[in-house]
Amino acid sequence: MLDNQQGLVFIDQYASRVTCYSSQYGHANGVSYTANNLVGPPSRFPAYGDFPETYVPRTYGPWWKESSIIFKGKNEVDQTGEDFIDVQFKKPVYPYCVNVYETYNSGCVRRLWAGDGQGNWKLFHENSVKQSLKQSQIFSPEPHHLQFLTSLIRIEIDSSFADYYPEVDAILLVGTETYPAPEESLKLSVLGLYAKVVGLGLHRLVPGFNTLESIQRLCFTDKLSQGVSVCHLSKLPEEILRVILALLDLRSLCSLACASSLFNKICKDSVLFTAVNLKPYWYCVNLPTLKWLGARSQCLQYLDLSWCGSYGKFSSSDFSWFIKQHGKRLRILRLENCSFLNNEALYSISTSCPYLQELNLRGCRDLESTAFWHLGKLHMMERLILDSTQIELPTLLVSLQSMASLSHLSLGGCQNLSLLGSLDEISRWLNRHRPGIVSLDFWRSGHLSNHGMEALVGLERLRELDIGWCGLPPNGNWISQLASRCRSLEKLFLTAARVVKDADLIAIAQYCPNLKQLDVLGNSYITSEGCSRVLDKCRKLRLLDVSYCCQIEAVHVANWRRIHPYVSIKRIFVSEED
Amino acid sequence: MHSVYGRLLSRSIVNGLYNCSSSSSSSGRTAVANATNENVSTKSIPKLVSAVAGFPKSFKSGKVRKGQIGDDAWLVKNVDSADVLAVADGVGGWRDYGVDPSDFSLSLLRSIERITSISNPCNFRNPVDLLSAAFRELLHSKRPITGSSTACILILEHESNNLFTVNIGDSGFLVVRKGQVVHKSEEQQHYFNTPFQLALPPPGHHGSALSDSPQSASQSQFAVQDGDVILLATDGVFDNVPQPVLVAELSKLGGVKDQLCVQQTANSIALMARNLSFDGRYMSPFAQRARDYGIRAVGGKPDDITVLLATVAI
Repeated sequence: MLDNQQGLVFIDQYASRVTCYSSQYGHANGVSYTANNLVGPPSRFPAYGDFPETYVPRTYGPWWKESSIIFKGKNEVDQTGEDFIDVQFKKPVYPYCVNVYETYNSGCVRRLWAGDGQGNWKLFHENSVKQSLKQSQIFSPEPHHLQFLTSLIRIEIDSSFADYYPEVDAILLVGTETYPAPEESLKLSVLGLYAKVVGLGLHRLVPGFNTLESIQRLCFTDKLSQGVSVCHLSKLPEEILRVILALLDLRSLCSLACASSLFNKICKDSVLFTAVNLKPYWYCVNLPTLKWLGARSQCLQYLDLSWCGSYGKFSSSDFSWFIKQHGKRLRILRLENCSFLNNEALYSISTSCPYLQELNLRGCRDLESTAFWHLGKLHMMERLILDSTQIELPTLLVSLQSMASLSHLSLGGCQNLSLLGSLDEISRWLNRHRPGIVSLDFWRSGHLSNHGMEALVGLERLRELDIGWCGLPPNGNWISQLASRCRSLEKLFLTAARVVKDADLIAIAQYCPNLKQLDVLGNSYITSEGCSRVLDKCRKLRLLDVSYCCQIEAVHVANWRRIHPYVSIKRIFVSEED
Repeated sequence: MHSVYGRLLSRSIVNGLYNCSSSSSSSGRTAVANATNENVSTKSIPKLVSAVAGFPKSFKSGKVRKGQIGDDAWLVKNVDSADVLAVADGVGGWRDYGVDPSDFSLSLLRSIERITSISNPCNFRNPVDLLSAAFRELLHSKRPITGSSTACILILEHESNNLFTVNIGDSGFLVVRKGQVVHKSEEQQHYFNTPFQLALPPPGHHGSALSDSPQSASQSQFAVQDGDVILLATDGVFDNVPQPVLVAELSKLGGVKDQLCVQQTANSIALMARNLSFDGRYMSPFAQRARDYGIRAVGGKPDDITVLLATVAI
């Protein structure tokens, strides 16, 4: 505890519990690279490196967004991070300072929020610097008092520009039990403002600059703008206006609607609301938002409600009401990390959205496994994303039966599929009934035996395959066979497969000219020879991860980087420390 | 040679001291906190006064890491609700395949350390789950870990004063009370000199290598008393020092709560095992057992030696 001269008592505390997170690199039952590692004081800071004792999100960089299969939604001016993590502290405080201990590829904290646990959030800090540092750091925004009693902090992590996986070790919250008296906080903020002005040298910019006068001018600008109220925009024909307005993001559209009655009318046009992405506004989406959207949603085809509705901000019946009323034309529905989802909500989706082609339920960990039975009614489904959910094998197979045009199936980190033989069964089923599948993700979802691999190599249309962290059969040249039969592969993740050999890489080089991303992390048999072959032959390659491949030396990588400047080659190697 | 020897010895003593002081001080702290916070509970919290000593079989391999003695690994860890002691003996045969045998044993114990520091206390009552989780964690390591190891874990749970144990292979423990062995581990062997082991063979060796599941480990529960002496050691000790000799040494420590005394006894057991292991004419317990299997053998068994010694203070 620290005391300052104002008589305020500052309490500093580390996270005591992780309540919610979007994704994690580690296994749900493990202790490496998992969200739970954020609890307590830092374990590795100030060391810098790839440490299993920290929290690591599942993705980094632009690689996961470059997939050619996933439909890209409407562009929002998006300050949202790629991932979020909510941590609970023991004692509620008025936050003054939040420290985030980053131990690898630092600089990924995008925003810090304070929550009340009932779905209300206040922004504590927003970081606009997008730069990844090669050293550990304590990310600590300038201290200020937030008049919001909280014991819940959400960090948004944006790793899209990071060179490799970012890692966070711990989170410290400093705050006071009482909010400082108004005059004190005013004094603090005026002093802070003054320091900022002087620090930036602003007071010297304009000779004879009168601070008071300029502030007054700022406050009463309406006098200045009188008489110049000519708006050329409103003179344009409505059709052209619509084309222009269609380019606006949601926030601008709402602002414009307030400008005049004309704009208000045009901005209500449902044609402008065919694709709505509410994820960037997760902190304020509630029932009135849904009602507001409902009034404009006659043409709604794409809806992203990811991250919304947590901590009871709106309920599953609110959502079900919306979907029943306005889901008829929906083709794409994204509901990542939506904790309000339940059996009723999935039932509403399955009965009200007959044309649904993509459903994304990634990270809905609390959704009970029985709810997935409703998926079977979605006959038009093409892309089904169920990562980190509780779906079970029988439910999945029955549901898939009705999805005749399924092209993308993502099942990464599904705990209930890790039972022996589940992945084999899915592979065999796909081989028999959906041989045209284009993209498949089994990341960390269990084991594949020889039977499973045999079925998998028969899926010859595959363009993207992620079997990272799946136990692969130790014998048999399955990867070579995969390469020789699935020749249109663009993305192949064999992370920690342990069985990849040079012969497999040579086969990949020979048969997969379109390969763009290859991850062979943790395969100790591969040597520089196989990798060189891949780099030489796969001219479209952009990502190659050879981390923890003990036969690949730094010299090789340096050489490759020189010869193949367009390939991002990752080689991380942290040996057990002494 | 001599200087390395001396440094190793003093290093292990320093490690032992460090561990003990940290463990006793933190449990001391919890005891104080308990006393001030709630006077209702008058039950005192047990703690272990522990020491580590040992010798690697050969000083040639250059790497010396904390928690490692040759191919053996050890762990002394104090968490809020329990004391954890563990040893693991990396199987040396992997060296012929270019695998460092200490990698597996040390990684296994480091996983245990991490799991015990994060997981909730109820796990301690089921140490087989702890062992399984640690073994699974090795599979989830980005760096490929191969090799195999025996393992023996003792957990003194503070709330119940119970010692929860799990053992796979030929490391083991003894609990001595008033000169008598009151509790000990069962040795698990497939056949002579081939203990049960947890294994992650390199791909391609899966059929040929022995690999036992963590579920095949034997577990036990035992209520300890004040003054009990616990010895946890790898086979380098039990194969060379006859049990009566060990018991005699341990009996001297009954009720001793001075860390230095515990350390001295640990050192002398380790040194005794070391000397006997290189005695070519000595009829070691190992040689006697070999004769039971019809193998004519004499002399000690040179091996890595790890001794974890602790007295219970309640």
